[in-house]
Amino acid sequence: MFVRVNFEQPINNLVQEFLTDEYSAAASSRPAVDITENETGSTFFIELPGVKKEDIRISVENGWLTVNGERKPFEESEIKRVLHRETRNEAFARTIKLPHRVDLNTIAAELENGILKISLPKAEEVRPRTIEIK
Amino acid sequence: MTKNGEVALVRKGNDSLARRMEPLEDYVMPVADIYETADAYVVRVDMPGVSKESISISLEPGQLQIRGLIGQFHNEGSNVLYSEIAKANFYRKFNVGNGIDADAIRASVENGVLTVTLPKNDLTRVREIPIK
Repeated sequence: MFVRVNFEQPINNLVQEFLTDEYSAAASSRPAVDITENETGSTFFIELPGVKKEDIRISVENGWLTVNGERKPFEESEIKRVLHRETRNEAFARTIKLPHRVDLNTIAAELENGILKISLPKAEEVRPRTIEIK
Repeated sequence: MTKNGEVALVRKGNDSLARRMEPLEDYVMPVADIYETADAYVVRVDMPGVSKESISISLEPGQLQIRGLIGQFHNEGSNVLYSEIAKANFYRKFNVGNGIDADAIRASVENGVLTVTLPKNDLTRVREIPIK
């Protein structure tokens, strides 16, 4: 099914439609998310400073994408004392509804400067196409 | 990549006092941890979205200042459907005593976290005194 985005409609409605959190009551924190879209697909950006690649898990199930994992403590063997602490080492999780049908085989993820970028190409059948008039 | 941040600095660059001492109004304070090891103080600052090239660190007597300019990480030509990530530059200053060796400060960035290591000098280093 092709869902046309109506930009007259308040953006919040759109967000409510595909941002819901299964984990809201759990002990996990919810990292901040940006979502962008173009003709070929959408991209999720998830803010995960201090999280290593190997501590992130991404899964897609039934039209929902889940990112979860854990920020591990700073590894410095010689720490004598913690003088000041503002960050928290804790589990994080975020579940986001995919805004369109996705070609599951070509989903790609990269981690750069503490931001996880997940590229979600549109499935062939939902890509816009021009119809030539004969 | 750092176009926006650079523009912000240039725009206000005429005010040399502000450039030197005061955080610009479109900066936010990043969260930070401070650790102590036997030989150094280690400051770790969360700067997601900031590349190594966009971070500047300066030390004036008694003050360590850290500034990070956020880059444009969205793909060009995309519509933003939803946005929670703050697009603000980072600024924070830390009071440091005179117990550090200013010439030996080193810094690295990994996974959006800046680590600044401030080695202790003779004022702060713990000395083991052997018993003869």
